[in-house]
Amino acid sequence: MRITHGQMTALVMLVLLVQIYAYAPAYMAEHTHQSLWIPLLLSIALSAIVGWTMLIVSEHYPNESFVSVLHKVIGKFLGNIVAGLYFIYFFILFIIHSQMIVTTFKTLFLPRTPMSAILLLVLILALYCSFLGIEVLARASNMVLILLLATILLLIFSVIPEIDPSYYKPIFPQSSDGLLYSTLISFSNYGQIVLLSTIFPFVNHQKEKRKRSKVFGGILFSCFLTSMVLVVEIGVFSPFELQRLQYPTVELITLIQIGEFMERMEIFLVTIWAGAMLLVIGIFFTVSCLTMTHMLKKPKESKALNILLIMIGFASILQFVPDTTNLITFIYGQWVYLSLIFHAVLPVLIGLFFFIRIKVMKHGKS
Amino acid sequence: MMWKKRNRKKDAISNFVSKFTTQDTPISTKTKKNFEILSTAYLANNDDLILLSINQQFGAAYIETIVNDKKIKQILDYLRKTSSNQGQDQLEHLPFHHSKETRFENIVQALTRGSCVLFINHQKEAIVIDIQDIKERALEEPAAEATIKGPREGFNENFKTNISLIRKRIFNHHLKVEKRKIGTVSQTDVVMLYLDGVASEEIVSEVKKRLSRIEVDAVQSSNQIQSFIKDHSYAIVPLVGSSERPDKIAANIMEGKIAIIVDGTPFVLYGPISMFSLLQAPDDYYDSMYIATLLRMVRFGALFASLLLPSLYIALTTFHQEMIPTALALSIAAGREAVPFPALIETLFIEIIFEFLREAGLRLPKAIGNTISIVGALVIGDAAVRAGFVSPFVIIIVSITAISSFIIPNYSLGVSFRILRFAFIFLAATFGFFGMVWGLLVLYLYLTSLRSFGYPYLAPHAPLFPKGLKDTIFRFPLFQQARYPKFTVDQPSLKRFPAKPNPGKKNREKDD
Repeated sequence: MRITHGQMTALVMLVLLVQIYAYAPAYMAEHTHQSLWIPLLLSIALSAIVGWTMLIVSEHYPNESFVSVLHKVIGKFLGNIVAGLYFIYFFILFIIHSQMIVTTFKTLFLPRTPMSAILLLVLILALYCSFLGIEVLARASNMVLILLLATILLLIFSVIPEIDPSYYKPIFPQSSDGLLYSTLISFSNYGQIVLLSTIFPFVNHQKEKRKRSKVFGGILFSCFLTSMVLVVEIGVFSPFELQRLQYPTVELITLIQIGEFMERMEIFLVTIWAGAMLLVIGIFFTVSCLTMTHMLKKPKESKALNILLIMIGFASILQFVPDTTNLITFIYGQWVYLSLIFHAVLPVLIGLFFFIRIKVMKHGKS
Repeated sequence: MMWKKRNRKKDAISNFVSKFTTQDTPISTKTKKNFEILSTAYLANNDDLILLSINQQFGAAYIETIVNDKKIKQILDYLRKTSSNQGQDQLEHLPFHHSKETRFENIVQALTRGSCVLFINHQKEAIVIDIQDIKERALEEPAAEATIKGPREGFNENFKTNISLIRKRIFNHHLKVEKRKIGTVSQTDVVMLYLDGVASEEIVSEVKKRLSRIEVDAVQSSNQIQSFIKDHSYAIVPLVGSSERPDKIAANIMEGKIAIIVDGTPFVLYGPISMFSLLQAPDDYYDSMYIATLLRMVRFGALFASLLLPSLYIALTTFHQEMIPTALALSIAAGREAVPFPALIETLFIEIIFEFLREAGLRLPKAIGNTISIVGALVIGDAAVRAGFVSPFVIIIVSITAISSFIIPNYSLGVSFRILRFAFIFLAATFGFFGMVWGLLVLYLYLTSLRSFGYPYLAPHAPLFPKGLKDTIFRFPLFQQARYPKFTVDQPSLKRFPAKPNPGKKNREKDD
């Protein structure tokens, strides 16, 4: 069983579509105010470069797993270390996303339900996703993506009348203070494009032609669309008010009113977001398990290993990010910087090694 | 120890009825001895076995309850004339379709299938004439798949009649009919039909392989065959289609699918299927695309309503009251004021009562069934509301859910969603909307992982094939559906017909 380029694109698009508008708008508005569009554009450009590099490296070794690509590009020893680091990266993303959905629902809709019960439900789903495998997730991703895209578009178009253009002025910032930190925040989201490398080996290269531009078109579209949500939030709430909102996108949804009858829509739209988020959690956990399986050189995925990883995940969440405050502190205090290793340092290292290797091979042939 | 284990294994295998075999011995040259073996060894205690000796020369054996009386009379008359006038050589030119058998295993099998066996003195071969006559039901309109504009005939229990009903819709030599017997004791005829050159060879050989692997003592219904050949043995949803309508089966064969007829059951199996094909009704193709699309949307909505409506009510009233519009919230609160139970209990109570009524309605004779429905729905429902046992809103919710479940055209799919509804009720009662979306995603992933003869169950939606969407929720005009469904045919470029839209354009130009 193999997946198509379209399904791979859908998986990456989904990953990029679910996170940035959850907590980031408040922090980005705090540092860059109305000029939030600049770090967004910068991070999209950086992510595109990183994604392009990783895609070119992966395309050179079709049908090879991410771990064996790393072995071929940077050698076995270094490859194993980088693969191990990426396993930790995907696992941390799985933990962040899991706790993000749990705390969101706990805070907004289920205040009396124990957090561990909601978390358990999320982890069971992640485990089920890992048992089904990346092919099933890829097949399922298209429809979830369409639903989420429609929801985000509905949200953007519904609140456009509420935008006050004066909130965007002055368009250009007077100083560059906070610009770097804001860029890092959005890059910590859009940099997740590196996921491409782990999913690419599943694409059926025999049946399909290379569709690099379509893949990138889709991914950039999702980056711009989520950026639009943040830009709209500035226009609706003003940079000053946005800094004080913990769930600005949910607040944005409350502005939607269908006639006089449907007064509040947030639960319906947040539920659609939750569906996509749960699938993304499943994707991250499945990719973590796959990376670990390939590192251990096992021919097949082991269910026992997946169960062990989910138990580690459960314990880690309860230990390190037990509530919203801890989660936000971790994301905006540590993860924003740590993610640079996986989104910039390692891709640059892999890219450099790859281009040197290609040059040497070409030189050797000539 | 090893020997003991092996012996136990042997015992376990020989314990199956399906391992019973008929002792295979050659027939005797003496008719009397053959009669004796038949009546004592093979068909002892069978009072409908008839053994007739004719002029000391021939012996005729048959089971009178499954043979045609007129044909038996003709055969016996012919034998009497033959023995007295021309002698036994005349039997070589017997005016009945016949075969020759030399061993008892085949002879006994032929007798139990309604053949007449003729033994001839001093001959090592017996003549077997097929004169089976089993009473069959007349062709009637299928009760579960009624149509307004479509044909009225449905399959019956005779597989030969069922084959003829399909053959009369596809007069083409590409229609292949492959027969086999399944059931070591019942020896049930199972027939596989497909359109050669259109149906995927891979799927055809896979179905043949799966059918040949079936080892059971008896096949009573097509559902038994289905459980042996479907891709996922524990799937909660139907993975093989079944229909009583010859037009539907013929249309599916024309699309490159495979049909399986099982003798003794009017439900013909077909596959591969997708879940969306189970939401289609025959009338979709006998009416305009607009009404077909509208009805499909209604069915799709009904599918979700039958699955989610009670859980939606529980989630909204228990966890997310603020999401209910104020006027409606006040009305629900007024209705629930006197009810002492939480929403979960009152919904479960009415749901279970409704399941009781449904089962009672099925088992009881029609006249009493109607009374039970009226008593159940009106009297108990009204009394429960008046007694403050449940709120009127729950009665409305459960009633709409029940009506929705009847809208689903495929009974098995409706039943599956009925079971799943209870899981969603508990999820909604525990986690509100979060539980519902969790359940929906698990269900969606589960359905996406399923396959019917290798064909993705949620195709063309998951995986997404935009070209295949012309006949799922929307029904596009037929000239736009020239392509075969992906995966079911070998050649992706194969088309059903040259797609030519707008045939009336020429005439309009003439008028101008």
